[in-house]
Amino acid sequence: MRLFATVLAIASGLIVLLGYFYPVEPLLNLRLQLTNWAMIIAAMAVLIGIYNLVAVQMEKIRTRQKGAAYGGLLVLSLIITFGLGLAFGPEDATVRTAVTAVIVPVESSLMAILAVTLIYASIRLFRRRVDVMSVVFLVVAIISLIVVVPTPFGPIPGTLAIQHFIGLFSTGGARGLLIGIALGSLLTGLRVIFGVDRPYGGN
Amino acid sequence: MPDIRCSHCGKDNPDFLDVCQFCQSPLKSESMLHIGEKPTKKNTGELEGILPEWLKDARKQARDSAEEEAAHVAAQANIQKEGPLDLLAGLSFQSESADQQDVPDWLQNINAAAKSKPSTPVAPAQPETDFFAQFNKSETKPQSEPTQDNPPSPSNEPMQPSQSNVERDELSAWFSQASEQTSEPFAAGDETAQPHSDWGLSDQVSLPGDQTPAPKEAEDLSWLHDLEATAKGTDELKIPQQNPNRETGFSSTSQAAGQDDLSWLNNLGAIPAPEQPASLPSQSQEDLSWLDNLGGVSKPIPSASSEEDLGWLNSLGATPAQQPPSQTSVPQEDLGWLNAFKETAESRQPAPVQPSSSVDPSLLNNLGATPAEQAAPHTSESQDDLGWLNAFKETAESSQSESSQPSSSDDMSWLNTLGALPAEQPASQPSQSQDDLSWLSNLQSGADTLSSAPFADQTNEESGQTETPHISPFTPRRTAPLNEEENTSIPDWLKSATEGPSMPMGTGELDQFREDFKIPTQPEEAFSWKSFTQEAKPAEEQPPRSKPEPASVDPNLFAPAGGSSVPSADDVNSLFSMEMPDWMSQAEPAREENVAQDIGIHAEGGEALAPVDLPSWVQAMRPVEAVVSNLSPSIDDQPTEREGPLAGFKGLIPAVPVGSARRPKPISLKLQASDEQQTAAAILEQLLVGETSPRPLVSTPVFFSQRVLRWVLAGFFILVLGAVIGLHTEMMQVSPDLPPAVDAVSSSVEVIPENSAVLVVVDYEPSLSGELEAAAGPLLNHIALLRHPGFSFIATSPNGSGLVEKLLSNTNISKAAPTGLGYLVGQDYYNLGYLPGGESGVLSFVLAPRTTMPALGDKVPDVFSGYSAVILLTDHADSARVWIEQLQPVKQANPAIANQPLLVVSSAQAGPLLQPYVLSRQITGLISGVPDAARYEHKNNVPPGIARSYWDAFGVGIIMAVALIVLGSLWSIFAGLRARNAETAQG
Repeated sequence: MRLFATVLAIASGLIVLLGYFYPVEPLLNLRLQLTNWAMIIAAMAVLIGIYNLVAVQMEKIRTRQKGAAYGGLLVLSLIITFGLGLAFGPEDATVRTAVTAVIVPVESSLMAILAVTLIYASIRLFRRRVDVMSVVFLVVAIISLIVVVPTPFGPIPGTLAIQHFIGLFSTGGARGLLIGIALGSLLTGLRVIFGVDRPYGGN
Repeated sequence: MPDIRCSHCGKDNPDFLDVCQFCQSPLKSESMLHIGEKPTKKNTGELEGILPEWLKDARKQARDSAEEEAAHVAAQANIQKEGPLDLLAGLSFQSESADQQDVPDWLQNINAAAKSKPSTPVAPAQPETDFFAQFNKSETKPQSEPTQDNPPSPSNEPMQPSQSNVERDELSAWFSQASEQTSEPFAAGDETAQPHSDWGLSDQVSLPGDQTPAPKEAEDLSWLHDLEATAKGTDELKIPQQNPNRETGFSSTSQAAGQDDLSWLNNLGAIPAPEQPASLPSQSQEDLSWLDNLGGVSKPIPSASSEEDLGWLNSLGATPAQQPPSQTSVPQEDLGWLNAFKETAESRQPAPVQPSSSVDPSLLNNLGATPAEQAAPHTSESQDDLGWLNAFKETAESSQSESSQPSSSDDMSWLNTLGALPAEQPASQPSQSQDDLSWLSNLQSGADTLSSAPFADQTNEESGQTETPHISPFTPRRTAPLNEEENTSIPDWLKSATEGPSMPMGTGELDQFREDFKIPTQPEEAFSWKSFTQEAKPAEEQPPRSKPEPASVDPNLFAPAGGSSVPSADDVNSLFSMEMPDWMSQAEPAREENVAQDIGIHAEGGEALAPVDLPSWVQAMRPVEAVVSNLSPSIDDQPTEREGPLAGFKGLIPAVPVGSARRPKPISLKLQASDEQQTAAAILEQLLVGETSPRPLVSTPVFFSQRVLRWVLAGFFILVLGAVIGLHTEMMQVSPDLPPAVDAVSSSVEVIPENSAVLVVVDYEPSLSGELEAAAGPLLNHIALLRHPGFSFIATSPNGSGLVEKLLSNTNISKAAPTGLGYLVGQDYYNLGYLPGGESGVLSFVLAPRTTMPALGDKVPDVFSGYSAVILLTDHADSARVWIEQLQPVKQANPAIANQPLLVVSSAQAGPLLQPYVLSRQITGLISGVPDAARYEHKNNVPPGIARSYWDAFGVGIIMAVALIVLGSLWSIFAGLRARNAETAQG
């Protein structure tokens, strides 16, 4: 069984890779079919994830652990939203109200807290450590804010040049990250194809 | 001289004595035996070194003579066995009721005479008469002689077979010689100081120079009669009768009486008189054999040796004295020494010898007196000294039989030995004062013989036989072989003499033991046995005396021991032994032990507790060493080994328990430290306390707590931004200059075909919906207003599909006109929902949208090229990267979509990461954040939407953030420096 899984995983990878390099019809169809299976499995994984979330919270409620009440509320909200979504569809006003009245404000509040926390951290940065990197970090952050800050008097002169200059550093860094991610993804793919790594449970 | 009064008898004793010389009770408390203590055997030999020279010489002579006597005693053993042993039984029985535990018998006798103690009456029918019957016999025996009047008592006749008159003559002659020499010893003592020294012979008995044997014997036996009478009446020898008839006592008593007096001496010799054949030529020898019995040797000796035994007596007398004609040839030889004794005494006595009772005193004088001192004074006073002998005589008269008379003469021969021995002693004595201690020499040679000094003459007798005239008369070992029968026949007074540790010593005599003793002058000398040795001393050394001096010896010396107990075999054996009394032999060691004990007590506890005050149980708690060292248990008391190679042995392994009695020595717990050391210790203690005590941490002052600061910041931002948003102010101007990526978006919108399908990928989270809605609102509005496309919203996030409606509502697309664009769901836009699978789903959807999402039907084109533009709303670079990476190969493979613009609206944080894709043209245009959206809106004349409404708040918020960060950073720098300085100051 382990060998079958390994062979299947390697074959799937090779087929998709070959279809990428060789966009022939059979390979493209086989590639598409495999990706659809992967999408369906991923969709089932979401359901499995939801099931796991409900099971954990129910266990917490059953054992009367700390935060069991929140778990019960989560499960209850899940059931109601899931039922309303199945019954009325995602475009129903009730379902949208649940999203716009609950999810968006909650997450937006979290982002607002993040903004305050970042400002607080910036204030406390020199209290913890006063070094070159901290100063650079704060200076770049302040400049980046100042560059984009609107003023009643229009944009601050030279902000675009500063923004472009600063953008060079960010873009260079981003490129490096992306290149690193690409190389990592390639290597990981090759290891899976060659069976070195078996994330599907084959050790 | 300080004296110690005896608590028992009340008499004074010198302070250096540990034991009372009178009652033998301990004088000092240390020497007492307490409850719980075991009596320890003391070694009397340690006193040897401190004895005076004359005493050492006496002891030496005693030892020398002991060996010589042993042979002689062995030779006379047979004869002694035949002696009348039962004659002494009377006196022994007489002493049963006596109290002899505290005071020796001989001492009691003496004291009794002095104190006139009440004596217990003696039953006349007791066998005690047997003893004195010897005297009676001896007195009655000479009845055959013309001078002896007393008939022999019938009771004693069988006991004393016929003894020849020759024997009585020998005795009388011997007494006559002795009386001639005993003048000084009796006068030497101080009469006033020592009233008991008068024996009743000094004033009554005068020793004539020439005495016929017959009257001498009569006189000799008279004192024995007195002795017997006293013993019968009082059980002890009473005070010598001071009556003036003593002399007459001696004289008036019949010859038989005198013979009886001497007969007990035969009993002492343990030779039963009846058993001895009277016809034996050696009968006189048998009479003298009792002396051998005294020596304790029961070996038979040939008859010829008996002649030799008597030969030494001749040597004592130097010339055979006048011998009675009735004596046979052999007894004449035996008693010849008595004649010589007499002659010697006569020649040495300048004063005329008193005719009456001269024999007995002379004998006694010869017993102990030195010749020089005793030569002159044999006057009538000497008769007083010998008065005690009258007591013997009187006592013996009632019971003595005539049958013992022949032996009595021989019995008295022992007295010669007393005179024979001291012949040598005066030569060894350095001074005359030491002569006073001559009796102590007797004590040393055998304390038991002191009281029975006359019997010690056997030694001299034997020594005379062995032709050693200078041998000490005190031979200790002669009494050893006495058997039980013989012991019972010993009279009490004789037994008491054996038991007494010493004869009573006057204070002046005892002072001689003191280290600081000074030799007293001649008149201070008390009675001394050296008076009996006068014979052996040269005549020229004897100073002339005008009158005989009374003897210092208590007249009751030979008093019957009325209070004495029955003599035991040991008593009799020790009678003639040479052992020193304990109190005398161990006087010095005992003192040393006492001193050591005192030292130990004081050293141990520092308390001056006397050992006598300690009860037995306290002493039992004391360390074992203190007890064991003194106890020295005998081997018999120790356990016998039962196993191992030592089985059967005793005393090899000490039985002292190990570690049981030793108490640990208390150790003081107080530390002996000097001031300097204590100071150093205090400093060290302070250091340790400083190190161990908690030190308060220097805490930096907190201006605001994190929570308060956060709340302040949050409240400040809420109030300011809320106010800006609530006021709908448009005070912040938008820059007309668009970045290139934003400007590329505007250019791409313009190329989107009219009423085409535009795929809008919602790939952001609800948390960033506000930013993305504000960023995507101007683009969507611009496209919808400009090209009026149909939107297909597909979400790659689970929450994306639910945000589509909110996005369209907030951007006024789905709102009805005139405020919105009036897009309707299902007609103008489609919410395709969630696209699962990630990159695979994106790839699949890019390859075949309808195949991937077959449930949507017509809402999804068959191929991806059915979308004229793809607008990606994302807040993460990763999600944008997925779409870009999956779409770009498809675009390269499908030229139909190669010019399909990919517009990305991202959050401000994801914009920089997407800049590479923008620069690589994989993304056609990029609107990043609210600022780009506001510029795009402002640039493209889009109706003011959310971006513009947020613009003032956005600007104010950034300004506030920058201001807080700067101010806060400066404050942090200042606070940090102050904290570091404080830490630096604290070290």
